[in-house]
Amino acid sequence: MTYFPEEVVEHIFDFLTSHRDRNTVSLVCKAWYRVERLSRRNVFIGNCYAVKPGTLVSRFPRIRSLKLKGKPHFADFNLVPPGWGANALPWVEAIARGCPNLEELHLKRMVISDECLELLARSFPNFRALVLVSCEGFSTDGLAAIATHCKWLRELDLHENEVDDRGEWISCFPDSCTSLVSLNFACLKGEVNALALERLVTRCTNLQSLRLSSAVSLETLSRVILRGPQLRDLGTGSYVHDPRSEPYLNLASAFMACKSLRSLSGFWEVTAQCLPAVYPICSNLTTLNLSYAASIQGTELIKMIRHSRKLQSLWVLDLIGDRGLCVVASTCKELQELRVFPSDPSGDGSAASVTEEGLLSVSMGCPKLHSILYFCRQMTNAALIDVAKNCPRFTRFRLCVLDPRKPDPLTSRPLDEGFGAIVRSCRELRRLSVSGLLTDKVFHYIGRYAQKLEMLSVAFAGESDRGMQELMEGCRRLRKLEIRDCPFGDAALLKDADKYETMRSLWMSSCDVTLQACQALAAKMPRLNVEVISDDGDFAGGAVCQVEKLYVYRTVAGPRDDAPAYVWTL
Amino acid sequence: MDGKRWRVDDSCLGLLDLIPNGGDWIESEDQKLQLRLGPPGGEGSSELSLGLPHRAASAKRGFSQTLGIEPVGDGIAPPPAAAPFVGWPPVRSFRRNLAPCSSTAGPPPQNQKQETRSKGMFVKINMDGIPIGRKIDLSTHDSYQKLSSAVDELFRDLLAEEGRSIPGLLDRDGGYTLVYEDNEGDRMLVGDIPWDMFVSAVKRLRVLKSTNLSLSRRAASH
Repeated sequence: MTYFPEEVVEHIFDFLTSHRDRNTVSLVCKAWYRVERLSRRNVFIGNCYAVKPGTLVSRFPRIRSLKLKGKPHFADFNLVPPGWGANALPWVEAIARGCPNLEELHLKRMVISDECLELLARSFPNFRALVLVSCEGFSTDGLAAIATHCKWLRELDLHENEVDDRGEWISCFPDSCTSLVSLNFACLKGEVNALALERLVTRCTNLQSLRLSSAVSLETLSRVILRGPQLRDLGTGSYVHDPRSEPYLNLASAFMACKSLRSLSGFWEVTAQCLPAVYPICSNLTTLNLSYAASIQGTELIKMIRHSRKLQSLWVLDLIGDRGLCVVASTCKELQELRVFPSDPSGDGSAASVTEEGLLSVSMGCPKLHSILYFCRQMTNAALIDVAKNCPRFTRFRLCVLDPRKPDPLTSRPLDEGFGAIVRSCRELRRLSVSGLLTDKVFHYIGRYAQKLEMLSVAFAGESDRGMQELMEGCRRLRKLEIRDCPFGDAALLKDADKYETMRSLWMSSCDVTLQACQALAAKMPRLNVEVISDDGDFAGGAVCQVEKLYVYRTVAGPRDDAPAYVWTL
Repeated sequence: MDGKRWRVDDSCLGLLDLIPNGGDWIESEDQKLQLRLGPPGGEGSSELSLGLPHRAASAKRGFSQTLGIEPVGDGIAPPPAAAPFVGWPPVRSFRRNLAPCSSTAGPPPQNQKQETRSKGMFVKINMDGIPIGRKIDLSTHDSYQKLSSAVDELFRDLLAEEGRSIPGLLDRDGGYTLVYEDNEGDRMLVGDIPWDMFVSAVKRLRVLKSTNLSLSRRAASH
């Protein structure tokens, strides 16, 4: 192919959409490397510390879209102290200098300040899409800057971020802004200017996705929907009103006009008697997220489910109960993804919950189910074995038994066999989270059978180093491994040091790893960053003391220069 | 613990008994709530203790007097966890506080609309028994003492409108306690952490009637 002109090669590369394919072709020869790097439009960086911003910009000067991930996954559960890093500013600064044509930026678990948002808004004249997931460090002032300066903004998606409320910002979208296709500010807490919102929806005729925050009243919702009947994805605000009132009746008739609505979420606060307005839409829904609706009782949930025969993705709280999951199983035959969250995570167990029965009935009733996140009070081996038989097509299986180290209540045995059945049966499994009482045996099974596994989360499991060793030996495709509160120590950590260069990252907290072993790992593998975290910044205790938290990741950028005092890069 | 106590139905609304220092949370038989903070096992018959640094005085005090004492010893006292493990179960913080809440009492009043975006740090503050909340600018205060006075000012007028008389002195043993919601969605007692940390963590404030503490304790993550 070297006798084709470069434009032709570039055109051929345009058909390669996956990052992995493009990475591969760039390795073939220098000519292809050059063509590929100059024509690359999208870059995904799974760990922002794996490479320096400057490197990105010099290799790919023409990128239009960048997706970056920052903190380790367990930061979501407060295991990473504040100030850890993952700052977006160096990236935005570098790209502002080198790639002025940037159109899209996706950040996950990163820290982004208002100043950075302002820089972003002013530096990229063609900027179209900003997606922030689980980020923090900014306020509504930064959002106001985006609204004000990004003339061609199509997408502003704020998903589960920590945002400071500094005032109204929706009114900062100029009258000339008509390009919005997707606006999600569901995670915000501050007040919303209802009139500005209505006007915005009216003039953005291409708006397809709108997710409102809990500050938006039902009245405003009904007016907004009237102006946006073409919506495909809606997140309600606060769904509270007198069901005999005019705004509610208006809402009900507005909903009838929304023929395109396929995805529904929100329901931050709910008046149950107002739910019937939603039933006509339910029959067309493919995605339903009721996982924020702590005030919808099981019976009401079930009524909604009965109307939603076409669901493909359902997120719900465990208030639905096993009985409700039975209804899901008999109604939602197209279901592919199910997430059941705990309604009372720190409670004493007296609240509603689901058990192995709910999971079992869904596995029997929904033949297309392949992705599950399930928080339950108990699980049995028998149920897991049946689930494995019923659903051999799981790609993501995350099970969280709320009581750590809880055995099978029927037999009092560990859940090794149950999970073993899952990995044996589900050949395409890419993501797995295990819980309950587990010995080293489960890791033997995972290492042996889960050949396509890419991400594994382990908590309160295992008995000895052997567990982790079998895991490391077996799972060839493993990319992310996160472990907490397991008795894995130095031997396990050091058994296969080379493997860490094939992985994105390893997290170990409250295990039995000593500082000495971490130092040994760091010495052996210069292309890994071995970061030890001590919550109170105190690293005294010597080499044989156990490290609280360990984060190991491969990198070509060397040790990072923005680590806080409580992080020690060995 | 004995001493002056203001009952809930008392017409005197002494304020903000924040950090009645050296206190423990005890529910006595006659339903009076005693608030003390002290190290576990400290000061005699405390059934419940938040394990916070011991304050010198034992008498229940108003907030302003509390501040005469160092709020924190050598560092931040680790809050005792309600759940035994940090970060377990693995759900994001905002999901921990989705407990069903009653609909807010009425729409926010007009004066809360912000015409201009100020750089101040305004947080909402509500008080038990008063349907309409206020907003308070934390950036204009630099200590808990000033905050306490400001809160006192804010609600003094509203309370007056309701026909209650207000001696309103900070140093009375009030039937009220100031709590806040932090950036993880948890309800916390005001005054434990250094002011700067507090300002960066606080999302909203609430003045609770002390008798409500037994109910709100369930909601608090402590």
